[in-house]
Amino acid sequence: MTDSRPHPHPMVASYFRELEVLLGGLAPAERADVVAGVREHLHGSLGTAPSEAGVRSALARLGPPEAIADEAYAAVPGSTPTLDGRAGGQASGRRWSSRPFVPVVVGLIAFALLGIAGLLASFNGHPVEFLLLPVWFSGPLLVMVVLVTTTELWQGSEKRRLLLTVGVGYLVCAAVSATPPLLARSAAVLVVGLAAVLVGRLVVMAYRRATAQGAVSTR
Amino acid sequence: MVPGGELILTHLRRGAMEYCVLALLESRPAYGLDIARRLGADGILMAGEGTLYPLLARLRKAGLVETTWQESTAGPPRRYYALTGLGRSALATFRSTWPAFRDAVDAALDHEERPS
Repeated sequence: MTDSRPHPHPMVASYFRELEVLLGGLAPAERADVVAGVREHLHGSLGTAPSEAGVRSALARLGPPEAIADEAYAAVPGSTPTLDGRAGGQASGRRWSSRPFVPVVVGLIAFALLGIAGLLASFNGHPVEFLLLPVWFSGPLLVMVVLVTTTELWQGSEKRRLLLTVGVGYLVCAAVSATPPLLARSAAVLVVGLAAVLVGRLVVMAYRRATAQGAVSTR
Repeated sequence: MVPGGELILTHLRRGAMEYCVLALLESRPAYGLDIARRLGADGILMAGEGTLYPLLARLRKAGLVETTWQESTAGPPRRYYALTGLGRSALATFRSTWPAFRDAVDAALDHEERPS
């Protein structure tokens, strides 16, 4: 349908990204209903060639995504707003895959794998060891992949970036392992450090989204 | 802490906004942007236009409104919201309840104001 077409303006795109994450606790059909309504509204109020100021004022008139989410959760049983803003039950409708533990677990597994790969590279591990490590580590790896693919805390591109970073980091560790010890050690530190920063940023981002969602549903 | 005007409005809107939307649809169906512009003009009934959509989704889920797609002269087809029979009777019930509620609140506030 035409109204599901993403609007190209970056401010609009980020508005909808935030809205979809905040509405993660609703039933999929209801969430789609709300998002489609807001999208159609914005298309209607922006016209075909919106100016920067036009986009800004249209978004301001819509109000923050948090306000829309508040309204959406106001009617969800178990998330009744309470005066102290807490006791109303942590939005029973919220999915487990969008809870804060998800990015934490994914981060721990990714760091563990990269850390072991880095150590192995520093001590010039044999290629066979790099082949066997993922097999030995297959349980946690499977958990990580399942969590990353099912969670709504990351967008498709962010999920790909996360898995790609872990995968490439691992392969580079395997490659530098064959180089002289000093080079292998410094390259491994560099690669693992870089991958850890990239993964860490994505983990923090998802954790913030998950906790923001919790705050909205209980407010 | 004393709740501010905006917070009081947020609470007051919660029981009444649904029926304002139903009343607006009573004479003829309307699309989202149109409803938002007509109800949100004064900033009293709605803080942000976006909050209309969770409410419309709720009304639709409850069977009080139904939606149809209609071609628009300016752009893609629009989703029109129309009152159902159930919506009509919900609105009638609210209409008969509201004046008594409004008068009771007014009377209570008025009483507070006057030293007796």
